[in-house]
Amino acid sequence: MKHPIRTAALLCALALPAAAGDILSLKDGRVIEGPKMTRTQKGIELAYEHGTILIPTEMILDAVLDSDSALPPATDEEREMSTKGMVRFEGKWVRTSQRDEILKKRLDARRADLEQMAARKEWRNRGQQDTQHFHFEYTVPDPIFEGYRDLMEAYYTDFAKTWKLKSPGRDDRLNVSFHGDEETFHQVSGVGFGVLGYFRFVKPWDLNVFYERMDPNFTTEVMFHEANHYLQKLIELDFAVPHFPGESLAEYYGASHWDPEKKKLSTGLILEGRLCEVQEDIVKGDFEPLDELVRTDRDYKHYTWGWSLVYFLMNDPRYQPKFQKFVFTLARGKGVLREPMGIANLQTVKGEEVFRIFREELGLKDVAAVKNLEREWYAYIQKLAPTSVSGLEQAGLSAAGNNRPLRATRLLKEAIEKGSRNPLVHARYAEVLAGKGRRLDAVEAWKKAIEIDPLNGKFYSSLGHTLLYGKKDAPSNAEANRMIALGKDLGYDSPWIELDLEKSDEKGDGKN
Amino acid sequence: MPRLSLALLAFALLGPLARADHKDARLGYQIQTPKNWSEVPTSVEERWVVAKCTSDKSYFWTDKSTGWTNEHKPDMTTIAFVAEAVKERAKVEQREKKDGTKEVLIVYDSPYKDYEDYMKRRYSGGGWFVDKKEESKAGDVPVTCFEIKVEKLSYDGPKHILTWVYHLQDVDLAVQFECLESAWPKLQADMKRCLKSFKGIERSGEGLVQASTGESNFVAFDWDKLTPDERTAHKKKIEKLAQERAQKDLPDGWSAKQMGRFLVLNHGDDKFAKKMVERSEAVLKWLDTTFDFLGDKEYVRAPVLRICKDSAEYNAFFKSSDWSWNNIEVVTYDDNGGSTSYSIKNVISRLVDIWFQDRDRDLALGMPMWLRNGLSDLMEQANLDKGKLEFRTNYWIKDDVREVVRDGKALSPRQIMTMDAESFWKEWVNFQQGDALVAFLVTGPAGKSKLSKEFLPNYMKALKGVLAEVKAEDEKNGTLSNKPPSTEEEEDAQLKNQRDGIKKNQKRILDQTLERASAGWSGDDWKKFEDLYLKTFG
Repeated sequence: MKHPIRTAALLCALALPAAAGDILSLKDGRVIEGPKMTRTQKGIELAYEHGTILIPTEMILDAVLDSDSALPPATDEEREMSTKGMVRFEGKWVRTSQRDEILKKRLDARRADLEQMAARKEWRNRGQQDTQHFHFEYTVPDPIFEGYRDLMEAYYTDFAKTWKLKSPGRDDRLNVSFHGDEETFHQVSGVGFGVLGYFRFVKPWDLNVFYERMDPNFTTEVMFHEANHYLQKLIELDFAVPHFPGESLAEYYGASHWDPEKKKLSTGLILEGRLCEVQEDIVKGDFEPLDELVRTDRDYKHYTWGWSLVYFLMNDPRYQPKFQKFVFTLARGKGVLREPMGIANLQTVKGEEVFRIFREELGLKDVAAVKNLEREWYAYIQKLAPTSVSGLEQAGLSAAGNNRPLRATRLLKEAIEKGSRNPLVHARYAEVLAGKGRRLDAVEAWKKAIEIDPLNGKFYSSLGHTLLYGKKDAPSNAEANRMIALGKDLGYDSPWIELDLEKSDEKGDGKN
Repeated sequence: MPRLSLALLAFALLGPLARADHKDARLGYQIQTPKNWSEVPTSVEERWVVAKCTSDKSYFWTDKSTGWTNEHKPDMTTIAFVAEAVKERAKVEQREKKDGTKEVLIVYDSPYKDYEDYMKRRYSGGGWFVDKKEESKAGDVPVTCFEIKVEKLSYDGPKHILTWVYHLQDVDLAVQFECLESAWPKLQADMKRCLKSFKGIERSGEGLVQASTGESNFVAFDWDKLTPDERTAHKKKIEKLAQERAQKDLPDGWSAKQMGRFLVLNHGDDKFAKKMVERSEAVLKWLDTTFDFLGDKEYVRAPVLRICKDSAEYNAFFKSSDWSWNNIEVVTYDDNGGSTSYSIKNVISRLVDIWFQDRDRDLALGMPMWLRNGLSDLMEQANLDKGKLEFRTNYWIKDDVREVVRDGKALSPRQIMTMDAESFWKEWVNFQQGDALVAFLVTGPAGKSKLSKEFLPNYMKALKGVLAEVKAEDEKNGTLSNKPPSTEEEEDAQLKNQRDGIKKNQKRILDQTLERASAGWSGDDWKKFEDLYLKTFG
């Protein structure tokens, strides 16, 4: 029976040239080089200046390590054959030099693959691929890219069918720039923080999104949202869909779900993050009036309440065809007051006219009819609740962000108990607990976040700061300070986290 | 070919390549700069930018999708990154004041780790990526060479950046050239020649990390608890430091002169500088007189007025600059717009901000939208005519407001004055109506009517009073430090109360201020006033 560890080790049995170094590729797309790596029973240990970090086997896609050396013979037969210069390799006895040569070639090839994966992170080395409807440029590893590529094609097909789109010409194929992480997304795409994705709506069309490895669902959501703007454009090329219904419809499609195994796309799902925001508003007593929502030219609430309105209308067979007709009429209908946008021959419709068309197409003849629809809508959305783990996560994170720590604690705890593996959820839970003075519980939550995402420097730094108690340089804080330093080893270095004006001062004299 | 001709030909070929030398004894280097490139002053707030110059020649790029043509002047910027050991002094310090309270100083000398960190955190010319990166040498000096492309959402057009980072002892110096991608083939040879000309020289002068007293940097303390004299002392320190730094290392061609209350650094026309100063003085005097009751014991910092030669120098100066409360440098250039010039308006707007912040910070922060924007617009329109401040009509605004009046959708003055910020933001024309109302109050018929000529000062006084009352009540009732809720229901209720409280406070401030400002006004008075207002739009 083959020993899996020995087999793996054997595959890396050769000492690679000293200059090569260890290289580790994770399933979430990261490629790690730099620290010394050692294989263990549970995975691979990375040695940093202030500690070692274990990467569990289930996180690892591949690794090529310098530290592996040929394993000593394990049986008497192997020991005897080794004296004759023979080793057991893939079921046969071969000369040691033969095995070494085969392995070297394989290792070199794998190393080259991993190095290419690491180099791919730079935009100049990006991958490029054409599909039926898109041109992709990407800095995520191929295994990750392929899933999203298939998802986008399926999405296009579904939307085109529902909205009866014609296929765009070659020149109108959308360029999709898929960045490996948020930082490089902002850097290469040129948008500031706060923007999570964008579609450039004048030619050359360009859609920019990034892969959030800690929350792949979020990546899909943003991708669907931004791609939806392109798809809306295909309804009428010279027409810019107004903020409402444009953003609201994009949010609606943001909640689509792709099953890669069944190759099935489901649309019309609850967008739990936005539902949370709407629920936060409801708690504050802020119900968004229907007429204001539709007639306002630009409003953040088009993403939240607007989503809920589109969700309500598209999920009701009485209203879905009417809502779709409303969108088509805006773009193509006769008698609609369209105005130039002042850019690239594009036309659009202003808020008051949007509201007029909305009333017309939805058959809302007077103020009473508008109010009736509004009441129906409110009643519908108040019955919605997050049900999935993802929904609980969103609700908890939303509550934490809206100064509702009690609710946040409950929801985040529930999400964690139901199996949340989102490290951001555990991190936020730790922050909420720390904010409520539950320092030791917060420490455990940080440890859990680290367990899920063991290479997150910020988590170690935050754990260290939570562990700190009393004078910073006290011997009892050695472990805390080590965690902070380990966070820096991993590249996390924020000047603000060092500035804790609430903590006891360094003199330890009790004054604060 | 005769020798003289050869010599002349050689001279003609070499002539365009002759260039100036830039020397910096503090950092210990010299480098050639391209010919016909002018030095640009660096912002006092960005000490890590040690030198800048821009080309006198513009290049152009047209966006095919929009048809717009953009102008760009290539530039050369030198940025210093000081070694960690030298930066040890740049840390958080706590110091205890005489009264026992503590203040925390955060000293930034060079906040960026290296060139790539600087680019990631500062570059705002568009989306960029490193196209090439290699190690090399310039003489004995090790160098890292970058070629960077700016493509997506590029400001002014796709650009090319060539940077060499020279690794000297204790300091890395990045010399960065930036130009349009379309101009790169023409310019790259000269840029590379300049970069290769880099030489280390003996260091002299002050150290790499300038000793900082901390006053210029971020200081966290309770501003409200200081006395006016203490605040004045602090503001004067900031002012003095700003003036010292602004004058230091002023490039050739710049003059520094005290003109009235302003220190004027001028690289432009003297006549423009004089006009700018006179107009600014007149605006500040008008504010001093009209609102003399506001913070009469408070000192208003005297800004440094920096007048750039042209828009290119102005834009180069502002590249990746920061806002800071301590930054009292106001930058402008002569855009040849005469009395309606945008660059002058920007200066006036900034002066108005500084004046209100320094005279009465709470009022400045608590001013309703219509008043804040309206005052700014009013002062921007104010021009100096024969020594007198003359307020001109903003016809853009007047025309837009006239349209809504004709459509029957105009807000009445009372509606404008009691509109909350959220509602204001829903329509751009709300801002315009606010501007029109302020103009009406100051320069329009309202300013001459017996009923309403003191309305604006009265409004300000009333606003000040109401803001102070609300603040005192909040502190007394513990609104600012709530008892923590123990259940989710209490938490939700508290959140709702806070939200309602904020809305209620806003409404109270707006309503009570108006009520007090118009104390004694009858229904008829209001009708006369509002009719008078609407009449101004014809």
